[in-house]
Parts: sequence; C-alpha cells; structure tokens
Amino acid sequence: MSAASPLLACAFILVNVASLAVLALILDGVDRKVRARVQRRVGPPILQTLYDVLKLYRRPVTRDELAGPFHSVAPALAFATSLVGAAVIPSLLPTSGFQGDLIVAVYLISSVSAITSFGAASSGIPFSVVGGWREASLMMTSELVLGATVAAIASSSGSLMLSSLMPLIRPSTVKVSPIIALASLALLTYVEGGRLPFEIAEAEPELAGGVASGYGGPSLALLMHSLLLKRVLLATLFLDLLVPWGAISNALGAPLGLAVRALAFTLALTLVSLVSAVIEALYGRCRPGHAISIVKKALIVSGVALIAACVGF
Amino acid sequence: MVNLPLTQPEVLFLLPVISCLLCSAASLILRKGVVARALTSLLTSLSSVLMLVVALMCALFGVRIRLSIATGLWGSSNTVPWPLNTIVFGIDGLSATFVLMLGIVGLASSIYSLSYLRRFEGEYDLRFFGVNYSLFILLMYLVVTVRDLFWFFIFWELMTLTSQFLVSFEYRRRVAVAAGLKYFTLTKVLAELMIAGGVAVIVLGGLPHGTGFREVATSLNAMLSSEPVIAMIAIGLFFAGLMVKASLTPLHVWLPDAHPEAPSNVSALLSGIMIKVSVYMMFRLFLFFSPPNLLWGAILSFAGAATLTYGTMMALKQVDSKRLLAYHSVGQIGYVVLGLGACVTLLSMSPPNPALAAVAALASLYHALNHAVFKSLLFLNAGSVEYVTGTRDLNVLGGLGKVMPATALTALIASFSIAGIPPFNGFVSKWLIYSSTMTVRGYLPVLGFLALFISSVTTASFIKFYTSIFGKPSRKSFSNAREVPASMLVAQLLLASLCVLLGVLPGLAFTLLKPALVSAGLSIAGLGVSLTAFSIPSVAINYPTLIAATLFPVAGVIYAVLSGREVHGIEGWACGALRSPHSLSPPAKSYYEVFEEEFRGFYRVGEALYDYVVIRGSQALRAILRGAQHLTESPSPMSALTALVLMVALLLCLTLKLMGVMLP
Repeated sequence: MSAASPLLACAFILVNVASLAVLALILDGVDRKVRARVQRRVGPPILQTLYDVLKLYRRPVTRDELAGPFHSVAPALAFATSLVGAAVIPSLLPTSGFQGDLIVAVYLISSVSAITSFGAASSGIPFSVVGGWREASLMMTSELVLGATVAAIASSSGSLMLSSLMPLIRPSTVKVSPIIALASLALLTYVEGGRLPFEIAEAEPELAGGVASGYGGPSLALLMHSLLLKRVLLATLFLDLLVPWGAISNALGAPLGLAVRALAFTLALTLVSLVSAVIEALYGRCRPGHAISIVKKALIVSGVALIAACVGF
Repeated sequence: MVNLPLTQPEVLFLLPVISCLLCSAASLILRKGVVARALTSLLTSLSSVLMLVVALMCALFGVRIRLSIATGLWGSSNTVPWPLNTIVFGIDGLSATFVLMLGIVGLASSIYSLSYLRRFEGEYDLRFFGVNYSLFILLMYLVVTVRDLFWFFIFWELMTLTSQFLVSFEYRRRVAVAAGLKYFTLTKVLAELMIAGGVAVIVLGGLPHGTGFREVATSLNAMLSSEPVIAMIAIGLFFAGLMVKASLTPLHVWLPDAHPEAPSNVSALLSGIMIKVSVYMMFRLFLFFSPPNLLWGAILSFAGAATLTYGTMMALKQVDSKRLLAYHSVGQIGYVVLGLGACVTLLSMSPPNPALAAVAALASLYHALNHAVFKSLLFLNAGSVEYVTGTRDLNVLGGLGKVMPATALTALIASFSIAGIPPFNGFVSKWLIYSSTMTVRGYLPVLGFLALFISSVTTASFIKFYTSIFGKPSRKSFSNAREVPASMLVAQLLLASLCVLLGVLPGLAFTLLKPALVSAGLSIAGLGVSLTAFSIPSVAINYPTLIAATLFPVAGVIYAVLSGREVHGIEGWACGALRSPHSLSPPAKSYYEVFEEEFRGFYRVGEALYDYVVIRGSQALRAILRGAQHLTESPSPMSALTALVLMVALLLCLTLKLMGVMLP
C-alpha cells in the first residue's frame, strides 16, 4: 500500500510526524502509570506528561546567563532533528514516496543525543555539563553495539534502504544474523531510550536533572519532547524491521488497510512501551561506569550477528 | 626550457607557479617583516585562487593540461631518456581534485595569515616564513601535478623540507624544534622506502622511455606478470613510504607532535592537504599504476580502519586543542584510506562489484575534500582562540562563545561536520563509506562497523572541543578576549560555508569529483546523483538537501518563536553553592574519564604501540644513523638541509648509475 501522489505521500509523512510527536508524550504517561502500578503506587494520570509539556510551553523562556550561545539553541535543533527523524522513518502510515535509509535514520536519532550533549555541556551549571558528558559517553557505547547491528543488517540484506529491509525476517529466506540483529536492536531501543538503569544523563536525584537542569519553560519542554520522541523513534525503527506492516495494509486494501495499520502500529508502540516500563520499574539507576560496562557487553550479541552476516548466515 | 608559444591551459598551469615563486623571491628581498606578511598573504591567496581556477577548469569544463619543460641539465640530446632532461606536468581528473583541495585550503589559510601572523612580528623572521610558506604551497601543487616519478620524488622531498621549517618556525620553543625534527627524521627516513620502491620499478622494470607515470604503469604491470614477488615488494616499499606521510597507524607518531606546533595557518595546510598528497599517490599506485589486487585492497582497508580507530580514540583523551585536532587528522585520514581500500577490494573480488567500487572511491575522495575543508577550519578556529587567549589548554579555556560569536559559529559548523551530523558535509561522505562497505559480504562490513562506531567517538570528542572553548564557563578569566580581526574571520566563514554547501548539495561535490573517478576508469553509471540527492540503486538513498530544507527552517522557526517570548535570565544553580563560575566549571580532562576507564585495554595497547614505534624505533634509528648522530641532536635547520641535499644527491647518483647499467 503506497501513497500514489507526491501530495498524498507528504500528507502521510505529516500524519506520521504529528502522531509520533503526540504519542511520545502520551506513551511516557503510560510508562509512568505502569511503573507506578508495578511499584504499588497510584502514579500520575496518563496524560500528565502532555499536560506538563503544554504548561511548560506557556511559561516564560529562561536563559542561563553563564551558558554559551548554543545552549539556548540546542533544544530547538534537537526537536527539529527528531521531527525530521519521524518524517524519514515509516511508522503509522507508509512513506513509499520518500524512501528512508537506515543510516540516515540512525544518524538522525543519534544526532538528538549529540545535540543535547552539545547544548548541555555548554551550560553554566556543572550538573548540566556532567549530564552532557554522560549522555555522550552512553551514546558512544551504544553506537559500538548499534554499529555492529546496522552492519549486520546491511550485510545480510545487501541494502540500507528501509523499504528493502522491512521486514528483516522473511519466511522465504530465514537467516540467523537478522534475528540476532533484531534482538540487539531491541536492547538498544531500551538503552538509548534513556530508561533505568541506563538513565544516567538526567539522573534527577544525583544531577538534579543533568542535561535538562539548565533549561526552563519552553526550552525544557522542547528538550523533554525531543528525548521522548527519540525514544519513540527507536521503537518505531525496531517495529519497522520486525513486522511486515506493508503486508497488513496491502491485505486489507485502502483505506481500511491504512487505518488498521495505523491502529496496529500504535498498539505495537504501546506494547513496546509497556514492556519497557515494566522492566524499568524493576531497576534502580546504574553508576555511569557500570552502565557503560553493561552496554559494552552487548557487543557480543551484535558482534555474533555481524560475523554471521559476513559469512552469509 | 618551455616550448613557446604556450597554449592557454599551459599558461593557466604556470600562473600559480609564477605567483608562488614571486612571493618567495619577494619575501627574500624585503627588509620589513610587516610587508613580507602582507605580501605573503596576498600572493599566496592569489596563487590559491589561480589553483582553484585551474582545478575548476579541469573539473567542470574538461580542460586537460599537459606541459613539458626541458631542463637542459643533460644537454639537448633527445635520444637518451634521462629523467633530468624533462619535467612533465599534467592535470587529469584526479590531480584536479587535489589541486581543488589545495586551492581551497591555501586560499583560506593565506587570507587568515594576514592578521594571524601579527602575533609573530618582532619575535620571528616573517621573511623566512614567507619564503617557506609559498614554496610549501607551490611544492604541494607540483607534487600532485607532476607526471614523472623521478620528479615526484624530488618535489616530495623538497615539500617535506619546507614543511619541516614551517613546523619549527617558532624555533625559540624547544618543543616546536623537537617536533619538527621528529617529523623530518621519521618522514625522511621512511620516505626512502618509497624511493627504494620507485627505484626498483625504474631499474628492474627497465624504463627505456623515461620515468613518466605511463611508463611506470606499463613497467609495473610487466613486472607483476614476470616477477610478481619483486613487484609486490616494490609496491610494498612504495606504500610504506606513503603510509608515514599519510600518518597511517602505526607510522602516525610524528603527526600529533608536528601539526600542533606549527603556526595554525600552517597546521591547516598540513592537516588539510599535505597528508592527503599521500592519498593522491595511493590512488595512483593502486588504481593507475597497478591492476586492483585483493591483497592490497585488504591491506589498505585494514590500515584505514586501524588508523581511524586508533587516531580517534586517542583524540578523545587530549586536552590540548590542536593536539586533539591532530589526532583527529590521523583518524579522518583512516576513513579516506578505508574508502580507497574498499574500492580496490570491490574491484578485485570475485565477482567484482564495479558499481559499489565507484561509490567507495567517491566516498574516499569526497571525505578527503570534506576533511580538507572542516579540518583546516578547525585548525583556524583553534588558532583564533590561541591568538586571543594565548593558550590551547582545554582545561582552562571556556565561555568564549559570547565574546567570539562568529568564530564559535564556524567552530560549531566544523564540529558538526566532522562529527557527521546530518546534513553537514561529513555526514554525506561517511554515509557513502558505510554504503560501500556494509552492504557486501566478507570483512568490509566489520570495518564499516568500526567506522560507524568511531563516528560517535568523533562526535563526543568535538562536544568536548567545542563546549570546552565556547560553551561552559572558563576556569580562568579571559577578560581581554574579543573577536578576531576581519581577515581571520573571513577565512573561517569561507570554510564554514563550504561545510554546509558540500553537505546539502551533493550534486555539486559529485560534479567536482566525477572527473577523478572517470580518470581512474571507474564506472559511475550505477550512481544516481542529482543536485539534491544521492542514490545507489537498490542499496541506499539519501536526501541531504531535503533534510536541510526541513531541519534548518523548523529549528529556526521554533527558536525565533521562543526568542520572541519574554526571557528570564537565570544564574547557574549548584545546590545553593555561592561560588564563582570559574571555580565550578569542570575541567576538560574529566569529560570521558569513565568511558576511558571502561576502554582502558584499548588505551594500554595504544601506549604500547607508541612505545614500540617511537621509543624502540628511534633507538634503532639512532643505531643505524650513528655516523650521522648529530642530525638528531642538533636543532639547526642547516643540518637537516645538508642531510636532505646529501640524500637527494645519493638518490640521483644511484638512479643515474643504475640507469647507466641498464641503458646501452
């Protein structure tokens, strides 16, 4: 099922971007609720994150007097980057008029972390600077695993185009490397999503918000929104490679197929979020070194996938 | 003696040469350093513009330059093909690409020099600088345009000599002299391997028609058929010499010392273009002189991957701004060589993949061009900061973004570019490297994975570079700091604009680089390139223009909307501690301590490698050169010059003697 005209393709992309931007806030509310219930707390309402962000958008802009000039620009640039990421990666609706590329998608997602770190480390607040370093350290370690995963996917498929990679596992050509690569990607979706025990960059009790501690009002809202959107984009990429979404929408025909696909995709994102929230509720925060050490060990998984792909399995 | 009348392309080729020679002569004659500074800047800028014209004429309009100059050193006999008799220059697509890089970096560095060199006035002899600087640019131009192996060696050696003088320009600083000598000794000694390889081809191949590139290629191909082992050894020796100048691991050890100690406008030339002159010859050696070979493809690919990994990981630890950049030069040249290695591998594998090989070659050249632009910009940024603050120590720098906003903006663009953040130029060339290495079987995807991982280390390293200088508060007050003079700013803005242009308009870069691919005989039919997009059919697709057209306006609108709102200034909060921002600012050395601790095994290997190559290498060298030990002990440039003259003379004698044996 594809968007026939360029105009329709643009409309589909806009729907995807808007939906993911809103879903990012709602799914965080779901996360918070689930975490609270697992820990036998009542927790905030599901729409609390949405309310928080909307309220922050209405507040006056605060500016850190001691920070460098990029500090105030970073949230806007990070948010714009995450929106472009949402446009490139197919999600609720297909985007066949605009063929995404795995490297472009991965880079846009990573750029959100990089820009956030650039901004945070430009702050006048030491906690924010340290948060920026930690975000960058985790980014490097995650990319160690992500690099091997992406190379395994590309080598086993002979392509980097998302349209050729969706889904990664096909009944006609079952291989070992894509399965292991997907497991590795699932792990990265969790780690790079900034979830406990890997939530070391914000670290509220320890660093008073870390990367976010220099921001207030709309800047804080933009930063929070970017990081949550990045989390959803990671899950979207994982689901794109896991589920044959095109087959679902093609089987039912338009417009019913599209509606079912959009609904199924939303439910899948919610499921990923629920599972992540349950895991997150069971853990406390790691020390930075410990977090890096754990992520580094995940290279074993992605490394096996890469070697298997290189030899044709 | 040049055959008259000259054709227009020949005149075009000679103009930069004349301009550089004029600059050199004028610098010698002039008495006042201040005039020498202005003249050096003006004439080398002019030379660079002329080089750009030459390169663009060749790349865009297909002009091919070939110029033969009779030296008259061996009489007028045309029957004996003595290499000394004629120098042949020529510019094909590959040469044009490197002349283009030289023109860009040379122009920016020369404009920058106008104000930057003020800091040396009264302390150092700017006439000496002018002579060497213009000759250095000229020699790089000649090295990438000469079409004769013999003269290539001559120009190469002279280029090394002039660059060594520039590295040690601040001769009152012992560290600069030591770095210059280390650079000279290492590159000079190991360059002999290259010359040995070349001489082996010249002598054993029996070159009755001279030492032109075409003849060398024919001879080498014949040797590969008749005496493959000797031919491979000759190629290996040649490559070893190129490795050291390109600073491939483990022969990179001179670079992190030499490049930071040179004046920043020279560092920009050293890192921006000189190390790529070796890559130019690697292209010639592995794509023009000899048929693609699987073994050399693997050696190049692994050397590239090892270099990019080692250089960048070491850069992460640095706290000297220029030393950090120098290590990144090592790392980034690894990407360039990996691209070339992937190209050679893809051409020689069974079955060959010529379409993807062309992508790999394009990636290599594109990244070389991008690196020339962003690395020279970063060195100019670091130079600007040193010009204003007098320090390169990232631990004490900080907070300069407000007082040097234009320099900070260009440094941010350069940092984003080298980090590969879309849609800046570094991203596009790295994307091409990943596309050509990851989508095949064999060992290339593993090297592509390393390249992707190291790209994130580069990002982290430049978070440190940028934020330590322009972001967080400094640990020391720089109350007198202000924006740099206009000429320094213009040079930085010029390069920053190119970082954006070469990223968002891939068609522009492809148009400039296409002739190089064609001249190497690579098939570009499989590449879909428009002004706005890159597509490698059924492999990968990238829309940098569209990303830029969405990203920048969206970010701009959001920022503008926020800036229009009521703004509350707040002071940094640190749990109520009432201290000065300087005392609270964390030092640069703390940035990635945790990460470095987790990867300590890698760093231990790195230190062992340094120990093995530098300490033991220099001990072995000292033993070999015991007879000429004063060379390594005396800081006098004259001793280095004497050594060079002696070595060139030895080389000449050897070649002539051997050719005398071979020829009737």
